[in-house]
Amino acid sequence: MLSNDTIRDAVEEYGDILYRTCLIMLKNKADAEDAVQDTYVTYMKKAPDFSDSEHLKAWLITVASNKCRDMLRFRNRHRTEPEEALATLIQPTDDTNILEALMSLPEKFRIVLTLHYIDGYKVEEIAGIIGKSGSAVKMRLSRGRKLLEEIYRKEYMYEIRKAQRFG
Amino acid sequence: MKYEKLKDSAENIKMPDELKTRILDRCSDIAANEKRSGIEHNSDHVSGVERVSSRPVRRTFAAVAACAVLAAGVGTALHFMPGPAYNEPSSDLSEINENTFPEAFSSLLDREFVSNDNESEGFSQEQRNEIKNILSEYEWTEISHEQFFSGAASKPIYMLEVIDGNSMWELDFYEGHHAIFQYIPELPEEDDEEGKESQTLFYSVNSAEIVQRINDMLASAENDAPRPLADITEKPYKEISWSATEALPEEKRVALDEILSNTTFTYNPDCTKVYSFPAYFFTDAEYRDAQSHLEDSADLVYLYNTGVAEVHEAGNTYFYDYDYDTLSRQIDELLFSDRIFTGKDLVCADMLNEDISFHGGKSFEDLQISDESKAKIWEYLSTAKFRKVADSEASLAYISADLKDVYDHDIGFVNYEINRYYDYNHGWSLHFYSCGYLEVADAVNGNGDFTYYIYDPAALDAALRDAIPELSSSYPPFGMLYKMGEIKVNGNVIDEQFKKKLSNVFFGYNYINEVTNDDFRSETPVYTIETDINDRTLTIRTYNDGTVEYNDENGVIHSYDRIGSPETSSEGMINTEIVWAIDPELY
Repeated sequence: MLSNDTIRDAVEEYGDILYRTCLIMLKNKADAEDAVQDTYVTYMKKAPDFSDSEHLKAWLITVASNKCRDMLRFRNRHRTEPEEALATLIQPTDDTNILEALMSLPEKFRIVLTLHYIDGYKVEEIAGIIGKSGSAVKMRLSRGRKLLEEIYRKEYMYEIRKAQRFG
Repeated sequence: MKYEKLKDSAENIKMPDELKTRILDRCSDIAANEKRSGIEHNSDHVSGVERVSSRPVRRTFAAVAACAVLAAGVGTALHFMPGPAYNEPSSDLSEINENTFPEAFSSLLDREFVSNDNESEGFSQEQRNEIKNILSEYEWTEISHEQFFSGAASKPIYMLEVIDGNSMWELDFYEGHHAIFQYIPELPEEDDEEGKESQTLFYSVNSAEIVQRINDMLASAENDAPRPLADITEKPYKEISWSATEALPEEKRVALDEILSNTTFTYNPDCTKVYSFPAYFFTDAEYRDAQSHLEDSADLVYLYNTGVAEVHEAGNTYFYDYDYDTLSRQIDELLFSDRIFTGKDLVCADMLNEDISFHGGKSFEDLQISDESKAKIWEYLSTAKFRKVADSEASLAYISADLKDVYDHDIGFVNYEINRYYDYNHGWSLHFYSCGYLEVADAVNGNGDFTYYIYDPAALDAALRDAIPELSSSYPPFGMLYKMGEIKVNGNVIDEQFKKKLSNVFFGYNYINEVTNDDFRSETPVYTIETDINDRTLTIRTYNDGTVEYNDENGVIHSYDRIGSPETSSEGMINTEIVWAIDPELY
């Protein structure tokens, strides 16, 4: 079992990225908090031995995304969608429109785009994290990008242009 | 598209300080409980058992904006020429016409990577063939993209994808009798934001019915999921229980196979997690040495004492209901006959006649029990069966089963304690954990002998309840939740396993002191638990100070103020045990 200091360091180092990933995946603050907490508890109990910090980071993201998937599966099975509007999750700004568009994507595109564009992982690394093939990840990136652009363009750019035109 | 903006926006999301505190507190609690339990965990290596497999789960995505998926392909849609009858998978949609569709897509289904819209689940060949049959039974009429957009198409309700090498074909179904068939000859590289040219065909077809039939077919396949432990002699399970270091002898394997073959395992698609202690653990010999942290390669079977088997096989996880009492008796006789004890082996016969303290439930209040009660307790304990857990087993169980809750507030509650203190420092005790785990301790200053056993919580509850009338106050006055029908917690329907856990959460407090009111408290409860009983809804509310309220059949509200530990309350702390016990799962 890991020491409290080790957990504290991991929370400080990777807490934001895990919370962000879980929040984007689950769209529910309380669920995201639970997923992150469970991830660290798993980390503490299993005390895995990693050769470098990147490996630890990837492991934590893998565990967290699996927990998110588990929670989504439960919601799906029981036909509950306790999703919250983005405005209730973070302070909205002009820039949060694209984040809102991302969060409106289906789950499989959401996780891939998040890992790639927000967390900076390459296709092969994402494939390792989510347990899919490189081709599948590439496809999801491609499809997800198109969906994201379209949603963003339709849902938000019109509003922005209208606001610019009519003040 | 400026993805930098996306990154910048997302990076504004920071973990709340309260969450950091909560995580560190929880980890500290677990570590403290660990220390108290006296179990050391040397868990240097893990495998990917925490990976939750993605079985086919039907899901329709509701969030995609109208026509969003289509627009990418519309600009590059081609004119399609009539072509010959379609036999081989094509890499170009120009060969497809109304006479060759859906066969054109169906032929692609034999390719290696085929997925549905949820989690890239590969279809079996049987499923692929069934999909082909379904697709072929409908009339597909090609329409223009203008017709498509002018129709009722609004959002994809199902997606079928085929990836072969760097090419992808997809057949997406939309509401309003619409479908789209798209071909992407070359998948773009990861940073190619412009994308590659794609070809698109639009169809009018009874999409809703097709999707329904595919979903029904997949659901049916789930119900036919492989039976756990079938033909165990052919499987790589060489270890029985949690940490046996030797392979199971061949004759035992054969006998175990026969027992398991005669056990009925009923697939339970609604179960997603078990909140209890695995009584038996099967895995292959390589498991403990697994080095990979990111792969889910281990085949594992847990048999829980709640009557659920959790099976990890070929990267998938399945849950099954089974008769725990019958199977455990048979397994114990076959494999653990040398580890079965009765209370007479664990407890000195006249121990209960000594000056003991008995703690019932979670209130940690000493109960003064009569000699008659002591005699009844002994009557049960002396003949009850306990299976000893080897020292090394607990450690591996802990690692493998992800038992985060065992030593915490929920299944880790000590339901009953019998303590004998020889002097201030030296004590002897039986701690019966609600999860079915008995700790027998003979310790001086917390150090000494700790041995662990599996016991039957339901039988012990019944025996103690019969022996000690005062314990009836430990049973929640609104009833045991696991006996009720559909239960919602904060609006979410919970599954049967969570229902059992929730029953445990509320069991064991002292419900004697109650106040009745005409209405619930005005403040917002942390948890609202609801279930329909006859013609009314039973509502149980828990507040963040530990208070529990429920409505009876006459509409009267019964309130139990900070039920739980008076010791804790006397230290000025607010008892929030119930809130925390539920907390990590549903908040």
